[in-house]
Amino acid sequence: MYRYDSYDEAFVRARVAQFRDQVRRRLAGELTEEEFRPHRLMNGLYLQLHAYMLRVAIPYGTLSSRQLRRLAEVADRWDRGYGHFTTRQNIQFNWPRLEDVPDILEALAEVGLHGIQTSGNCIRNITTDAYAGVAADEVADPRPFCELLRQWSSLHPEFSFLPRKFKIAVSASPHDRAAIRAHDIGLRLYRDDAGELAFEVLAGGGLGRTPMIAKTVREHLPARQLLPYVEAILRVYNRFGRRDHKFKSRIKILVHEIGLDAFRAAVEEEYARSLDPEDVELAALELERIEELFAPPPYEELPARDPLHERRLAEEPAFARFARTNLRPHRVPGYAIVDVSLKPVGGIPGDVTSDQMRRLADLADRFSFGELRTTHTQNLALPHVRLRDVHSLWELLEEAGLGTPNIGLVTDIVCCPGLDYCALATARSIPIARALARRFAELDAQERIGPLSIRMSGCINACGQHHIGHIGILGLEKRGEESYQITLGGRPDERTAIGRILGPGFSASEVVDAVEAVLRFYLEGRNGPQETFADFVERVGVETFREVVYAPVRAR
Amino acid sequence: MPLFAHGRWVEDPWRHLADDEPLGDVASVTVSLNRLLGPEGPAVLAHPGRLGVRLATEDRVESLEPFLCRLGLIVVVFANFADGRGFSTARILRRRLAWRGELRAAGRIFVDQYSFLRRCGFDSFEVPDERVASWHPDNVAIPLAYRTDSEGGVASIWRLRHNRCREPRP
Amino acid sequence: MSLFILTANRLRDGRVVFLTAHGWEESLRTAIVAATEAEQRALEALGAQSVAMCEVVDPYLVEVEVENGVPSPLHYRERIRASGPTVRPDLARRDGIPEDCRVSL
Ligand code: SF4
Repeated sequence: MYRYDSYDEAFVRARVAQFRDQVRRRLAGELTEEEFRPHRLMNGLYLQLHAYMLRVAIPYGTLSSRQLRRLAEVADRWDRGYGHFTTRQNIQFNWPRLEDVPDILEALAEVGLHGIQTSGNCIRNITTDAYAGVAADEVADPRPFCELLRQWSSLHPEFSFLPRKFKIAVSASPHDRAAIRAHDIGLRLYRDDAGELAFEVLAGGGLGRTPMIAKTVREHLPARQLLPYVEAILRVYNRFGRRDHKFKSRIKILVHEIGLDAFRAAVEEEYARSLDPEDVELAALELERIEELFAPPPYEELPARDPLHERRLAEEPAFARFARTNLRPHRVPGYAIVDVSLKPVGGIPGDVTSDQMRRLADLADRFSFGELRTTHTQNLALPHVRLRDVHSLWELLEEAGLGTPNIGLVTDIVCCPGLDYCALATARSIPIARALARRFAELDAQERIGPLSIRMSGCINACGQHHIGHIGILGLEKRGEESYQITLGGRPDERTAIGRILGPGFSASEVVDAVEAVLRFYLEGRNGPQETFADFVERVGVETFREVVYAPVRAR
Repeated sequence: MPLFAHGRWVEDPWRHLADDEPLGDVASVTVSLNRLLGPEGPAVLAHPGRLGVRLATEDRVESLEPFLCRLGLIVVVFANFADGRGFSTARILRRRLAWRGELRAAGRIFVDQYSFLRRCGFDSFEVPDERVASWHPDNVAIPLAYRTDSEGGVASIWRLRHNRCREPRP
Repeated sequence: MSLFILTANRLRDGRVVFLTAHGWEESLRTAIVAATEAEQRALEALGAQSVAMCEVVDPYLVEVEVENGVPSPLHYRERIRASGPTVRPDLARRDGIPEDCRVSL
């Protein structure tokens, strides 16, 4: 994985020193809150409902055991012993004190972590497939491109005061596990007919108040032209994106208002006119350097199947269940990717205690070359586990309360912090996620329901990506009460779709019954277990659900 | 307005004319882009002294292209702290239109933006009066950047890493 | 007549605080209750002063009802803000309002 050299270190340390001075000036009264806010935001520091919140970037979701241990230390020393993983592969601390934040950032800088551009109207953390570099179906490791984009976008002099925040995601597999179509820029890496790496460039996706699916701006971009092209998109957006209204200033509105063709023409013209061969050459050199750092770990040569592993699968049903839900195919024979669920029944989706962080770091050292991944569904993964070790790993995960076998199932709920933490929330989301998980806790029933992504947000900002959940839940306020709106028909995958609203909102006490009614209808009506919930909704339509849900739920 | 250029406070030799102010016979004047492009344009261009232009953030800098060789100063006026369009204006001027003359940032600029402004190619700064006291760019600057924009005394990490330095190593 | 108290976040550590006769405190039990328009303005003026002195940020008035001398916010958002995350009772404020902000499930 990527390792900082002395330049990266000097850069991040200079940034910490700069922020330390800004905090000092703020506390001394030399900066007003209005002047200070953009600085703290661009270092990942929010003021939330109960306290400050610090968001730490985990670039492209790749994390070393050393970094995770440091995050645990931060949680213990300066926070309240836990952290929260987000849908953009980052981690948040909910209780830091402003006066401690420079020290926290310095401690993070020592292990190559920072909060730069995890907030503010700038280019945010670059996200990608959590299984990048190890997925069996991937074309090439997208992370060198992500790291190149990270460096390019860090303290970008031109794009630090954009009309709004800007999110980029990269995928390198036919199966999109990074929701690239829900991003301001989505990049799909593929091999063209000549066998060369190329990107399909999409732009104008985004959720929030006006959800939109990204559109293809360029079908084929030679991979080495990535930066100038992305730069052209950003320049067009920075110049012509709306700044008159917060809700209208994302790039999706620009693309929508001027139309895809006009947008594409503007980008292509900008690209053609501003292309600087020296930039391209330097970026290519830098990409080569980065690629070397992403060289695969020293895998053993192993047979594709492991007899011991298979015997255990046959003999231990609980282990077999874990393997069915939490194991992913690895591109190297004899290895697997092991998903670690952060969605235990009764827990808070995405929350991990400092003890669990340390245990996971130890497990990563022992079983996965010291490497972990954060997923955009708020789980973690150990990316390089020998098949024969999976059983021991599973036992240790169980011991730490991290062995829940529910990845991709009904209780693997994506959920933003909502009104329990977030100052912008209109309703709580965690208690609903918990209640749902309790209702559907039974593991056989979960497997019977099959692949299902429930996603929930505590307000229209849609950090919980409810629009692209198979079942989406949006918390709103209605007549002084929390109210929950259900959407169906969303998809988070390569066929990304925005869900449609089922009907009037439900009260907190109704919403779980409503979801149950939805699932009951699906189980009764599906064409066998091979018809997934998403396919079923596509076939029967959202309207069909109305009668079966409202009458019984309201009758209770 | 106090003017900061090349690391120190200097006198502003330019007169910045409001749109209804006559050109007169001042040696160095700036006018708005509208005035330059409007019916008065030829008269403005025929002005015997040095000529500069003040751009608002929403102005399209491309329209300056035919006049660049006539200009001695381009001022980009930032409407507010959050409006970053002026950064792109500067970048286009420096890189695409190859403007080598003085490029000045004015309006609602902050000392903490100094590195960004320099890296985009600004070389002088009209600092709002109330910000003069806190204008200490050296305290807030970050001496390193990844990208190749090494204007502004900021070393490019990419150049350093790949031995394409134009500046001494830090 | 509606009743209001003044809340803000403390600058240094971000904690939720309420204006009492003894300054800003983390508990709202002894918060000053404004019963008139004039009292509300007076609270806001004190808030602005504290902002200028870099004690707090973002002060605003919260509508409350008062029972047994203890104010309790009317809106669920403010009740949660006053007492802490409802999903982490271990982190809740013990001296906050003993309010059941929980969803009944
Ligand atoms: S969706 Fe709304 S409530 Fe949830 S984290 Fe985002 S802003 Fe907060």
